[in-house]
Amino acid sequence: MSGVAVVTGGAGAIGTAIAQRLARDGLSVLLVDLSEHVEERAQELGMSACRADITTDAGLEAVADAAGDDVHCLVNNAGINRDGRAAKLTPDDFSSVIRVDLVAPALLAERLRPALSGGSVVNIASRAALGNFGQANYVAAKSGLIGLTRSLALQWAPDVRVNAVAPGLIETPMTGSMPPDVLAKLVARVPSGRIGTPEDVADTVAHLVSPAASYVTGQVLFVCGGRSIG
Amino acid sequence: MVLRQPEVADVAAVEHALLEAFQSLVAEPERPSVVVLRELDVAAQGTPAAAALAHGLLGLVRALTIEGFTVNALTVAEDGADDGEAAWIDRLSEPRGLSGQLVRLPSSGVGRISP
Repeated sequence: MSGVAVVTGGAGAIGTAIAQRLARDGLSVLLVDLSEHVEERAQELGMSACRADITTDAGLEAVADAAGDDVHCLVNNAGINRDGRAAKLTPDDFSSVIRVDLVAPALLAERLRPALSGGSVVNIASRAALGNFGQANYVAAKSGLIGLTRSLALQWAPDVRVNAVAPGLIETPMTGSMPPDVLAKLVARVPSGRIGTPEDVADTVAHLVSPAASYVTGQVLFVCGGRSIG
Repeated sequence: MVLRQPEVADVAAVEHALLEAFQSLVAEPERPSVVVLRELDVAAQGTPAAAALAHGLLGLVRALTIEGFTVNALTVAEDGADDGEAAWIDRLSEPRGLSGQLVRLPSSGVGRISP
């Protein structure tokens, strides 16, 4: 494969794994992140970086400028969560998650659309889109992202494919900071009997952006060890 | 309470629409709610913004159910055809009744993936 792979949230665990996998597949990776560490991370990995806030117009423009006009794929991986019971969520808790996890991916895809001709988009949703306790904002955002994925797939076919990956419990700094007994209970609910790795997600993304998935669009692949059915 | 999917001009408007819906649904936790969605948008065949909103609202229905709210979703046809909408709203609004369910009144979704 050739061209540019734009990976948002590229400084995080899953974003980095996706970026490394796509680079191994021959793509020139542009890591996008709000974090100050993105440039350092990109340098370590031999990739390009764009430090940008994709919830702003200036940030979207910066990413479009850095990506150029030969984008093989956009991986909308950036996301945040602000968990809490619905009754306790503030308007800002709710809106900020919708803005980052749903609106920004839509606006970035739209912005990069001219450069994506013949390419594809993968939106990183979540198994939580099916429902989760204490995450009304996150569930709404990720479920909305699935609706967006299907609609864009129809609108942009046959030129651009649009799919989603919905990870379940994945090994990240966040799960690493959980009390071991809490994490063990969560793992016990996964039919595959283990926590997922960032590479599990990256492998699925790599498949979806590859020619092997050229007949796949508008789909959601759950990378959750069977948790979505178990 | 019956909450109908609002119109959104573009994807940026989805943020405010979801926030308003969320605030309405959690304002009266004891009161059953029904969210009425457009089948076209649940099927993702309208605009991307409308699909994002419809699915976001569906996500809210599921998340709030897990937190103990009684809330369901109903899809209706674009053409306003009466498929027994009022009767279904009554049924889905019963206290201590169903929750977290999606009832799709138009049959146009048959043969396609379920949301």
